[in-house]
Amino acid sequence: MTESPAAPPDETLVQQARQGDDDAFAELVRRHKTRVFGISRKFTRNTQELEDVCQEIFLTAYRKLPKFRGDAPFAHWLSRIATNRCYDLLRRRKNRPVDVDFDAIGYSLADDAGETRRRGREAREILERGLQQLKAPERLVITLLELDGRPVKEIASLTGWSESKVKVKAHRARQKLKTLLEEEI
Amino acid sequence: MKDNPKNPDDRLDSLFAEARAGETREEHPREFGFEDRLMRRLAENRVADATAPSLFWQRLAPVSPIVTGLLTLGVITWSAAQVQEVHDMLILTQDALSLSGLFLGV
Repeated sequence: MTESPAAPPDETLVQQARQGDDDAFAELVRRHKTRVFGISRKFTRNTQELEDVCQEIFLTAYRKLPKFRGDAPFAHWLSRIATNRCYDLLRRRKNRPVDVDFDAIGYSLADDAGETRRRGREAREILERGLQQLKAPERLVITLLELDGRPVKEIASLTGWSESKVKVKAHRARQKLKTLLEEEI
Repeated sequence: MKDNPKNPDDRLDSLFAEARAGETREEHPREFGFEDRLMRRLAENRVADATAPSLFWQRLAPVSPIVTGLLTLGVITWSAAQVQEVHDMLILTQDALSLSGLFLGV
């Protein structure tokens, strides 16, 4: 999110939040909530789950603030926490088909939704059937790579895995998706 | 859409591309007021943390019956060993007295 010229940088807010300034932490949340929602909505299935996960991510960040060294920007540090939380969520889930509220995860079809949105929603519905059957690491990687459009290097940095591991997981996920969706695609 | 829609790889790529293009970019409705709800939860957590037993005792709680049982068993074993030792000492003393009586002709 864009900061106004007078707004203090994230690092200053982190410093203030560490010293118990709740307003500073609330400001950090305001600045970065869209980023966290953006990551989480691709892994959650409904609005309540999305809200719960996002809250957990920020609560984790709050607890870990004393460990934030500032080597990387706060936004990247927070994205790593968000990615790890979403990975935990995927690992806890059982691989069984579950109804997904596509409006909640970013594929709403408002009355004026154009052709692109309608096709996007259809594509997501097809993909979701396959994604639900993948193992947690495979789903994590393929989602970040193909649905988020993040480069391998960034995914490696977010997950803490090596680039070759990310590539291998992505390759396996693609192969499985092709088999699973063979009839539909 | 790719040139060859029958190729599964191309079709999969198309599906991902369509899903990316069709994703809603607006703020999620739950983002409104999110920080207020979060800060309330943070405050609640602080109260809960302040009143809850320490992490050490929370972790110990599930194993405390086992620990108590083992301690009790240990005390009983130790006590039994002590009783046995005292008993042995008494027998030795008795034997010693008997022997000394024999020597003294009592």
